[in-house]
Amino acid sequence: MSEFQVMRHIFFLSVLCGFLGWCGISSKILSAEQQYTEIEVIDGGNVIGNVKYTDDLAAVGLNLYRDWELSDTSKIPSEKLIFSKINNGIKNVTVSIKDITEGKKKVIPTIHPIIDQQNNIFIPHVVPILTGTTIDILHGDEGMHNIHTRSMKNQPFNLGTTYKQRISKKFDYPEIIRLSCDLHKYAYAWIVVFDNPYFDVTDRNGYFEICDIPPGTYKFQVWHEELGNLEKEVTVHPKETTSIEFVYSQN
Amino acid sequence: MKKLGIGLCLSAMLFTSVVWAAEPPPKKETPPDLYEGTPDWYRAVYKDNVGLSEGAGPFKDYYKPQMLDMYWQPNRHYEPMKNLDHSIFIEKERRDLCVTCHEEATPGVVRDWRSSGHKNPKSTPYLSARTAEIEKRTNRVLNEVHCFDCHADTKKKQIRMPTGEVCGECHRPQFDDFLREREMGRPNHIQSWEANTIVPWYAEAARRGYLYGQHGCDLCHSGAEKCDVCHTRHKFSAAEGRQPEACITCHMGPDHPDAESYGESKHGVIYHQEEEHFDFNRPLSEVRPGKDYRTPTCQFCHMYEKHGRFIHNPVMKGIWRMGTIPPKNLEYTSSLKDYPYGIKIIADKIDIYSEENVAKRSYWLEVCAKCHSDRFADTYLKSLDQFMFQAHTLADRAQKIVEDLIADGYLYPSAADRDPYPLSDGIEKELSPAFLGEPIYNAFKTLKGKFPVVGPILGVYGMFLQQQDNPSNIENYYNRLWFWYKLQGYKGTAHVQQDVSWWWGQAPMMMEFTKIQSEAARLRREGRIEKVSLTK
Amino acid sequence: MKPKVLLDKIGLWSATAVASIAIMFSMAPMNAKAEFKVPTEVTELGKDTYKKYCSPCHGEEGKGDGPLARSMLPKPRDFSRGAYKFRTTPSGSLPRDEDIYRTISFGVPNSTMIPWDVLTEEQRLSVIPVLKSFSEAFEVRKPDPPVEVGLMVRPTEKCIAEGKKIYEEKLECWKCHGIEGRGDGPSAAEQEDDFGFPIKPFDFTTGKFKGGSTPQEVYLRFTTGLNGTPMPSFAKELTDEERWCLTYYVMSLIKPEETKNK
Repeated sequence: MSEFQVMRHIFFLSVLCGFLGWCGISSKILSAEQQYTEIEVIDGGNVIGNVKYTDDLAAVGLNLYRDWELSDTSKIPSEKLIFSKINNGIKNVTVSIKDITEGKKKVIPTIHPIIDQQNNIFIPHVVPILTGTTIDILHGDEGMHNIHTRSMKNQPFNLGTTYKQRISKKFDYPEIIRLSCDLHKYAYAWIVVFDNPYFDVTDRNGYFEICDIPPGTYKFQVWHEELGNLEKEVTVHPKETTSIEFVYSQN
Repeated sequence: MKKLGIGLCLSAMLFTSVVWAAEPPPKKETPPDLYEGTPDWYRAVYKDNVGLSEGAGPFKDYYKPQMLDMYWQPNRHYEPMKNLDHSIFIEKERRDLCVTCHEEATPGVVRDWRSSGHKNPKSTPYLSARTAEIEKRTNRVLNEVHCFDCHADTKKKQIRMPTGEVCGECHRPQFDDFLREREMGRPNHIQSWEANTIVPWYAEAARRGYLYGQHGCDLCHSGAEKCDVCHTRHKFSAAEGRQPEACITCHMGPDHPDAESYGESKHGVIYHQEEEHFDFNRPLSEVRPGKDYRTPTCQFCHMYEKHGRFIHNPVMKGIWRMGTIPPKNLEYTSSLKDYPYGIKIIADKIDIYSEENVAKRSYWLEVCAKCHSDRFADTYLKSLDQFMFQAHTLADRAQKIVEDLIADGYLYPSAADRDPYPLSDGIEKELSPAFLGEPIYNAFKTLKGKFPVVGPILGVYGMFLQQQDNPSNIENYYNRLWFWYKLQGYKGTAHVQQDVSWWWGQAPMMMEFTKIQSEAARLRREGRIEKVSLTK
Repeated sequence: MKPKVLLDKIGLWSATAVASIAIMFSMAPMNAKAEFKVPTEVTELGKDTYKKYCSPCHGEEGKGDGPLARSMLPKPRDFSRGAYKFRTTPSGSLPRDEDIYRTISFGVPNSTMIPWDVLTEEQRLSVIPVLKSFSEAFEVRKPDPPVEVGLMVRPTEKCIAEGKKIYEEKLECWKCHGIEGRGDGPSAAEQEDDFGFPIKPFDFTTGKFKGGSTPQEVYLRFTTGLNGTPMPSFAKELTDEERWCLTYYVMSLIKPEETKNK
């Protein structure tokens, strides 16, 4: 496996803590909601960057499970915190511009983004979408699952599904929504809904890219399920690519 | 001063019997009244609900009860919960809702009740017969005794904590039997809260910031007049009340090691070995010794009244009682000879050979003779009497040493230089000469409690409250001798437990005695040295 | 009108509404509507009633943290999410006023939520806007229309056998609810509700269905799911007929002789 899988035993913040954290985040985003005007962006700049983790993570190198016979569920690595061995980049961090009021057109994808349940886990783990987007949740396993979301503004749902089931749900309000399967407690995913089209999710090396931003100074925000929020002011110059870096440190 | 000191050293009271006229069993029609014919202040122990605003007993104004007291003594202190007003359920008489909610809120309670005779009062022929008696007496049909019947105070429209009187509405004969404990005077069950709060050291300790330190007192002395002490909530099982375990949570420890002495005696050991063969569902009067019980239980001996009859209280046949009251049949050298010192409300010394006590002894022999020969049992019990005479003689000699020391002015620190007797100001104010006896009352009035008090029974204060230099070492030694070790020797002997009798009774009693002797010698020596150096 | 009479009507109405929207649509709801006067705003009566009888468990702010809540399991409902278990609306939807009224009036068996029919009909109705005021979900969303309940199927042996097959094979209900329906399946221990509290899968043998014990009500539970709990809706997975079969099967798991004295 190319990325480093940080086992859940290293970061022993409980699920509940993460969950409570999520409550806080969700309400924060709700309150920061604002108007967005679509304009034609001619001389937009780009922002590329990297989200990293600083600390000494030597412990990660230890394989505590070696030579142990594990049940199947224990073999599934946690996706809670995945980062690259090469540059400490963190996967699955959403990056967005918090205070943008005008910019490129909101394009709602006609092909629905997909969250697939395979081998009892959700793939991908974090799905950022624009408000109004419909997501298809597929069932790729033989056994029974349920798709359980927790949200306030977007109508939550909890549906039992079996093989080949496809559930399409539209999300109309910006919110961070946790999606889980109660039959497989370790399986969950995040749907992060934004109300402007300037957002991205980091790849396995922690890189992201946001394009066609009208020049100006903006507040960039990153969010990670375990590490929380970071904010940074970034000035975007016309037709230039600005490179930025977000660094999570353990403190 | 000396004279008064001696007069008082002796005292005895609050622990022993407060006797008032025994009333005839109340008429069947009226509901039972635990407090009928009691003095006014007594109502302040149990009745006259004041919530948590004031204490109980004659010294009620000197302390505020702790919140738990509302459960320990509900008649006096209970306040219904304020969070959720339950009155609406009582007003609309919604019996069904009690169980609906509490099945989940407090499931243990409801399951207990479901398995009790109250839920199915006609489930067995025996229960049906007993229920029929109650139905006849109370003139109502009983297919189920429900939460509502005991817990709903329909007059005040609020929840109540049931007390013995509530049980007595249906279980009248048992309650009447239980009421008769009062004839015997304290110590008994029905007056246990009184014994807790009437004593001056209870309020004094509360006043000095030790209210919660008396938790241990409260737990046993709380509402032993309630029935759930032996027949625990919410099963109220008669069988449970017949097991020795019903008694031992309280009847243990230095002052009445009943659990230890019975439990480790041959009687108790056989009970533990063969417990599962004991048939506790049988009423005591129908128990066939050797078949249903191979050895006696606490209840089988102590609740046997006479001539094959059992009574629903365990104090009627007591001769030596708790073991604190000195017998009449000894010549005393100390002021014990004047016991009870003119205190009118304390019962006199026990005459072991009085007509009544000789009769009681024969009732004891009736029990013993179920298994033992009359001669063996008689000899054993006579040896118990002799043990007690010896123990009281030893206590008398020890008291004499302490009293002489005080009389000669060698007590150090002297009574004038240390804290007074607990709550002396309250005793003077709240108690009357009629209650205390003229000389004792006057002593409190003139000396404000600055005098030594040793021996049965007022001297026991040192076991419950230690104040500035009061009591001193020698008094403590003596307290342990007569209150702890004498009583342990008594129970060890009475319940046939050799180790308790000797190593926790007689042996430490003697050791304490020599400690008292040498402490007295030391104090006298120091006192003399001090006198000599002062005169130089 | 006496509360009980109204209750009967409500009961009748909800039963008919779910069972035969197609048939009796015009009649019953109209009748019942006339009786229903849910205040649109929070009233003083509602506030008082809530404070006196609801807040001891559900808390002054509706967060399920009243003074009595700390020793309770399951915990009283936290109204701030707008997640109501017993509804006639689809999974995730807010409840309709009628659903809330039903739960208040009939209570939730197997919980400390008693049927609050001790309160007057007016008091019960007045509480509804108070409950809704605790969640911003009611400002953003509206309850969906109630799910359609098709015509009842007869509980034949074959139907029950089909229900058993669904229970054991297709939907694997047993994973939580256990093979015998005792709520002791392999996944039972790890279940949590949306508020982070452990939650026990229902024990069918008790027969005290929390949302009501009629076949229609049981049918509704797995059609709508129980919001805020791991219990999903099976509206997508099962045909109407299959749901009736499952209904009869889980009802066949009731063991009255065991639960009589429970």
